[in-house]
Amino acid sequence: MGPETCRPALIRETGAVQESPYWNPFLETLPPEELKRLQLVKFKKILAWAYERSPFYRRLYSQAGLEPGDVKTWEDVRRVPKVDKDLIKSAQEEPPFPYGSLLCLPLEEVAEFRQTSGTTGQPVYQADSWPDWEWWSEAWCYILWAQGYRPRDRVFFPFGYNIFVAFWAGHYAAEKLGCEVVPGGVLDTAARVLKIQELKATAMMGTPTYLLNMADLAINRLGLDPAALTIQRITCAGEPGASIPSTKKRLEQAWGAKVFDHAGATEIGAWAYECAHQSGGLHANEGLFLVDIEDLESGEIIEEPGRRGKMVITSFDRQAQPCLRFDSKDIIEWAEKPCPCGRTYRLVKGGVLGRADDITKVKGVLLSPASIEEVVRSFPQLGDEFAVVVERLGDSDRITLKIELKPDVDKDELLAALKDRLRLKTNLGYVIETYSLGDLPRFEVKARRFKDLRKIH
Amino acid sequence: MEHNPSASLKERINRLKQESLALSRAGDSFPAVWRNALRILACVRMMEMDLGLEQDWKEPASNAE
Repeated sequence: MGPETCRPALIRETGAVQESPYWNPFLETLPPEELKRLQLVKFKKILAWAYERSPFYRRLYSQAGLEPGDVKTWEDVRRVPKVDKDLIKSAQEEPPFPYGSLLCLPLEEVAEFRQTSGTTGQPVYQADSWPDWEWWSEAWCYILWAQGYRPRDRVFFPFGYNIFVAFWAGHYAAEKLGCEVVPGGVLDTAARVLKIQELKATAMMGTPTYLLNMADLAINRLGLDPAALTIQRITCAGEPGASIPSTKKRLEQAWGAKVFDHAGATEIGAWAYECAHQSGGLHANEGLFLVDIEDLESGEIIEEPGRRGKMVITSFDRQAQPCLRFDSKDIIEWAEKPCPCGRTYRLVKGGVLGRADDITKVKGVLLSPASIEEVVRSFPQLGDEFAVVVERLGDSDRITLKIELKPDVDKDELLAALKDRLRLKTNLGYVIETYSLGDLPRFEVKARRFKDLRKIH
Repeated sequence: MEHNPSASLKERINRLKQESLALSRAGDSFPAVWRNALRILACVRMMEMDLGLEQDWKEPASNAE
């Protein structure tokens, strides 16, 4: 076999395939009624798969008097019992170790282990077969292609390549697209910035918090302007920041790059992505996932735009440890208008707005940490870090907001403006503590800036 | 937009699947052939998923909404 026959059409710098705005021109533009039909068939298939192979799912459905053949309509789908993190954790106490009775394939077919961060207790262990792992990177290909990644990109990963799934799938998807991938794993932050500079990387991925810290370090320790480097696009994950306009703006200004959001979770997969049109939301990947929004009080399915509810999601194609009707606790809403990009996948307005268990009542008012972030990041006189502590003093709640001031700001004027904007946005008053730039804790993976001490004491 | 993947595309994917399945079976004493054929099959599965070929869903189910 000669060298030419070994290199079939690897490089396609021109032509329709490079110009396609869609990774999948078929599924991403499927008419909604056809998409719904496909989703119903796929739901029935994964339901039967889980029922037949997982003792956990069989028990769950049997206890509800349900067999896969009973599910014929969308009303039936919504009657299928939900699962949540606690149910998954309890199933993982059963054999086979470590995945428990959720497992649908023999252990020897498991190719990848990952776990959740376990911030709320015991982590969830996630099994993926090789086809599942291929599926992870396929789901990420939808994201990266929509955000303009192409084979000419050199993609830098300032990521610890640890036991969490985080950007692993992004790495494999970038490879699959044909990008050149630079794994910045064990480098420290300064070395990562210098490597981006040396290699003239064109794209990177990270949490908003870490990427802001990187930019800060580049300016203040290395004397480099990150916006003058060659990064053109950034894909964020792990925190809602890249969908919060003021945080997105900070990142874009700091790096001189387009910043895109996506949403995913270990148990679910990468289920939503912002496209190049950036029309204020994330496309739910409805060819690979069933995304439902449930009213927080009544559990009614919300189809109309503008009403917030809790996401219940199914991954259609994940086989080793399937995830059906997962109560994610993520708060989302559908957007009013379709995206002009031509995708028929619906838009989740503003991305993930928060988590049902993060949104808390303070002084009788519902408070979302994301709304505080939006206000803080809209003040250029403030540093990137902040922290919020809610505590009970006697009979009343107190919210303390800790912020970092940049040098030479008019503190009194700034604090008055900040308090006003916070009250307008959240209907609440705050005690504000000021710190010098760099004094608040920094985060490398997911930031934990919100502490509700009322739940502890 | 392509809303009906061409018959030739479907046929080629199916031929690739059959050939890869045969290769994975034929490689039972040849680990390198067995495992590489399985990797090809994982990619075939992605193409089936991307083109909605995994199941016959084009016809409306009589009992669906």
